[in-house]
Amino acid sequence: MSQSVPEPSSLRADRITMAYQDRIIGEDLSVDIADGRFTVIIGPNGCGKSTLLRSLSRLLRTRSGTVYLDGKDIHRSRAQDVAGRLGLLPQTAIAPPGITVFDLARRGRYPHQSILSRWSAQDEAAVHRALAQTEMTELADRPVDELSGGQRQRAWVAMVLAQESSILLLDEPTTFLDVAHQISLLDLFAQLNSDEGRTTVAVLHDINHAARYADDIIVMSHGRIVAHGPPVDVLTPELLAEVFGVEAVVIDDPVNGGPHIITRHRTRIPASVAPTREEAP
Amino acid sequence: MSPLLSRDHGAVTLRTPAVSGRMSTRALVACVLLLAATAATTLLALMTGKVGYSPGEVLAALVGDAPADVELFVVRWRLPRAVAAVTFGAVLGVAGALFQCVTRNPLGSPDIIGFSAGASAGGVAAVTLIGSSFAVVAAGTLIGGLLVAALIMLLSRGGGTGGFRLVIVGIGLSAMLVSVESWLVLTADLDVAQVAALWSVGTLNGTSFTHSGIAMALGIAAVVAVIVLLSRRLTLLDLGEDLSGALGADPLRTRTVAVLAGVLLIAIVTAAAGPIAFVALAAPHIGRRLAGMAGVALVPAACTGAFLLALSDFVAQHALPGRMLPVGVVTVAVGGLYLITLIVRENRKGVL
Ligand SMILES: Nc1ncnc2c1ncn2[C@@H]1O[C@H](COP(=O)(O)OP(=O)(O)O)[C@@H](O)[C@H]1O
Ligand SMILES: [Mg+2]
Repeated sequence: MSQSVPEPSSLRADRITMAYQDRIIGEDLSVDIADGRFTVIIGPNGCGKSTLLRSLSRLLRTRSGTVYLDGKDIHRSRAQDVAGRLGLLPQTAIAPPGITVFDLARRGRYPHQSILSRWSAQDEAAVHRALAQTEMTELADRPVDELSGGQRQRAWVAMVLAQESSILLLDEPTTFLDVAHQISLLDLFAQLNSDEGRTTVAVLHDINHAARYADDIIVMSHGRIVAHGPPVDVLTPELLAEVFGVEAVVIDDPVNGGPHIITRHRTRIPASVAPTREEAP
Repeated sequence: MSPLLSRDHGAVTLRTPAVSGRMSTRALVACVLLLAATAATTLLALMTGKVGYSPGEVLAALVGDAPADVELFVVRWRLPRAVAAVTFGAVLGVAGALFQCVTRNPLGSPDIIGFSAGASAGGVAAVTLIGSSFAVVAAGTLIGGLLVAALIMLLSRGGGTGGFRLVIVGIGLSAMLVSVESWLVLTADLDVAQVAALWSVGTLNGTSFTHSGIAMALGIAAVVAVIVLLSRRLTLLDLGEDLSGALGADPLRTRTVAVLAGVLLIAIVTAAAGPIAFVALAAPHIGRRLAGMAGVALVPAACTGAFLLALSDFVAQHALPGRMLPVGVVTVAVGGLYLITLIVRENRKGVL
């Protein structure tokens, strides 16, 4: 595949405060997303991972601080320009009933289109390439709602790949998939990342998948980033105990190298998912 | 050398250096057939009446090549009404598709959620309190529609703009507006009341280019503008708020523009012909099903709306011998049945 994504770009947040109405989710948060690397965000439910992705992709206006894309305040850029550089696959995406895989992928081309140019040769080529990359070419004319969970997720990935953005933000792309489909999707992301140098950020739940696939791991807890770096540096028993409330040993992954986490038993449930007092025994 | 027109994945592609587009073959065929059926119905409407003419005579009259009496019947009397049915039908179809997309609800049509009732009450208020010129009625319907739009947005806040809550709020509002309308009609002078009452059923009787020509031209322009400017954004709204925003189309702006455009479309038709019910509800679904499209489908909705209203008006004129019904009576009768089947089906799916 000779086609390469546009120039690598830099995405960073500088002391941002993220909030929904009056509810502050995270304060004074700074993060640099390394260009061309595969970054995985982990953290307990409700700690603000999706909110961070929404802030980084211009969907949520930060209360204070600035998100920079290519050195420019992301809110000073046009939405359509941002969309040409940065793609997001949110958790909340909806497939209209009956839509085919091809039609879904096609909608990823919006940022590159205009009122007159609605289906250029580039659009067509990008959609076909995205379908080929996700191995969805055969299924292109099938309705998305008739596909298996793994295939459906690939259809969504084809949509966001057709967008041809140099940065890819993926919010829990593997949740609800069986382990084989999780691995095949992660292999695809890893391959896209290494072949094309596409900056990739994914929220994952499985810490061992994070350890195996990530160049960098961002660990979040209660709206803060508590660690950010290569898996070997980040995934320590102390951190796992602090953030996830699990007692774990970290060993060398005998198959793939890198750290591998084996949980011993639960020490405590992190506050964000802890039962209320009434429910506790 | 890529050809101007090509086909792939069941779709036809048009491509020149500046302009390109793609439409599924099935949708294209469905729209062409709907337009052909609309044209046939219109031809029939022009042929039929107290004096009947052959297709040849009608066509001759249309190109200005017929005796004066034929021209009088066909061009001066029957044509304005036939054109109004087609254009207003298309306008209503597109308006319905807009609201259904914004509310994410097949019942989210202006008939159900109260915009039509608002426009209608505004129009009746204008007729009874001020006068029945097009500008006055148009202003009344527009203000009525906008007020209801604002009220609905306010009342259904928190429950999200989608879903059941909007429909329930709209049904309540519609009922209230109908009673306001009745009160206005009852307290007005008899002759004014009669004009208002007739108008409030929705009728194309007595349509002329002098009176409704502006509405027809505005309607066509608005439909084309909405299709060209909004259709791509609306297909993104179908994918959810976040994805729409991430692809570069701010969902709030899309919604706002779509609602305003929808209110305007409804106001145009209502001002000229009164509230013609249920075309806006039925046309988008029927169009989408015929075209086999997923999510919002503006062009099929326009074609279906045009056909439905042309057919309804033909029935309204000729169902009872020697007596013209207001077209609103026909659309209510047919649309009511459609609404019941729709509710039963949605209910079974568990959407409601
Ligand atoms: N639209 C919203 N309005 C208000 N609060 C929200 C909204 N979305 C998420 N939250 C809250 O923000 C917090 C962080 O949510 P989120 O970023 O989705 O967490 P995560 O993705 O890590 O599970 C949660 O407590 C959640 O309830
Ligand atoms: Mg989340």
